Amino acid sequence: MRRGSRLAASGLALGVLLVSATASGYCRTTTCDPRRQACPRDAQGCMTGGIPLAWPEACVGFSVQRDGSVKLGIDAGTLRGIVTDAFATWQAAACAPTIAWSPLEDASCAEVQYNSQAPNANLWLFRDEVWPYDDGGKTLALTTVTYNLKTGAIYDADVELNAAQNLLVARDPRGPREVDLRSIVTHEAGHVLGLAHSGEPDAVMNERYRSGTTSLRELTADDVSGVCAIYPADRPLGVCRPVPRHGFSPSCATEAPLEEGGCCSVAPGRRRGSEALALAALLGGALLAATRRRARRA
Amino acid sequence: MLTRRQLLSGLGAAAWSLQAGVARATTARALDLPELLRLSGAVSVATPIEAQSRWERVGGQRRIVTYVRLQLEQTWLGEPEAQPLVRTLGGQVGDTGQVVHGEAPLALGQRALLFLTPRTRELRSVAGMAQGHYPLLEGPRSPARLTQSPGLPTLVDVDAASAVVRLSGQRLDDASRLVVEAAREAR
Repeated sequence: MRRGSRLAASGLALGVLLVSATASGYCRTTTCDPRRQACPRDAQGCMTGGIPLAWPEACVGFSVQRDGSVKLGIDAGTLRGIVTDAFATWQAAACAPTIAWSPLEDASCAEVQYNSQAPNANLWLFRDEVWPYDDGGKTLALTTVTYNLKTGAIYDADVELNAAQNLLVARDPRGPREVDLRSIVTHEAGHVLGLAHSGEPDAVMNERYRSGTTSLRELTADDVSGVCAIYPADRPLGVCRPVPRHGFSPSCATEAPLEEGGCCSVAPGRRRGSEALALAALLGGALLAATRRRARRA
Repeated sequence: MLTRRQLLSGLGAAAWSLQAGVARATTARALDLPELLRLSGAVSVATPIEAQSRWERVGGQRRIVTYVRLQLEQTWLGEPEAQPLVRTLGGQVGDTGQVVHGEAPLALGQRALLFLTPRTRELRSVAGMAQGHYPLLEGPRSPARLTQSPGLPTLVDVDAASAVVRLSGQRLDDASRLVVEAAREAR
């Protein structure tokens, strides 16, 4: 009985949680990082601090990892087609967003990376064997967006799809265990474009997806408003050249591990000159504390 | 039947959910509370007091990561540590920023309930990424309540058993009871 009552209380919370989603619309990703500074939010929960992110180019190239997913039986060509369709869905918004996506050569590289002085690839890839993050394997897809702090210009975006622990399907799903790859890719493409969440319950960028459905394939008016706000018809554009920043490389480019003039950033108020020392102190302190704990136990 | 306390708790949680702004990104299956606890070595109330970012290789990937030092206030489960160090994905180095949608954004000075996974003896990460992060919202006359993480991913198959649904909006003491009971049942 107690368990049932608790469940009912939680259900009540869930009900209002879901209803509350109707109160707000799309949000944009910004440069504000709450680990560095205060990041205010508006009544809808959208971050208002920082500069909203956007691709400055009219045309952007992307690449898929050439192995596709052997485990799921989805080859690179199929993934390329699904990603192309997803970007086309966003591009078909009524305002004709001023950004176009083109598939580049399939990549041998299977790494999420951004090179500040070497070629890049805006990569989509499956993780078949190991999902390398601490999330209990529950993540279906992870998008990493690299940007310029001062301008909000997006430099690079990579999307990892977790095939190690999830049954992603390229066709229509046939049951609740199957996850619609087209839905997930369309949603992640929204993040690649610079969108964050939406409170609109039916939006592609909404916070909920029920597996076994294709509910995130089609844009809603809210999604259209979001992409049109980022890429309006009157934004200044250069020549269409769908090449990633610093050129395209299908293999993982390499460069010095700690580029851009230093290794670290620090909490507000700390001088930049002491950054490397500060990080060393932080890590050293942890080591020292652990050593002391071990010594105490001994 | 709902008891008066449970009803009030549920209503409080529901009302709080209306106020809490939530940013969702990436896509993840919703973790239920026992699943979240299985990923966690410790459950603590803590405040991020310092953060440092750097380029680093994580899982074979070259990424920006941010190390966050926590000041622990309470530990509900696991071994208490005064100031554990937590690694989160993304951050800012020089003029370059990296956002990893779905990661827990541990805001400096913001008290939060955290489910922590031991990575090494010295290092922790947030279990389930943003699903293991519950910032505390506290008013001058009202008790602190848990809110959903602003970094919460788009959740797949979220239901009443999901940790984020059970914990968001709860008062600290109610959340503590839920966590301890769930841990007992999970054993």
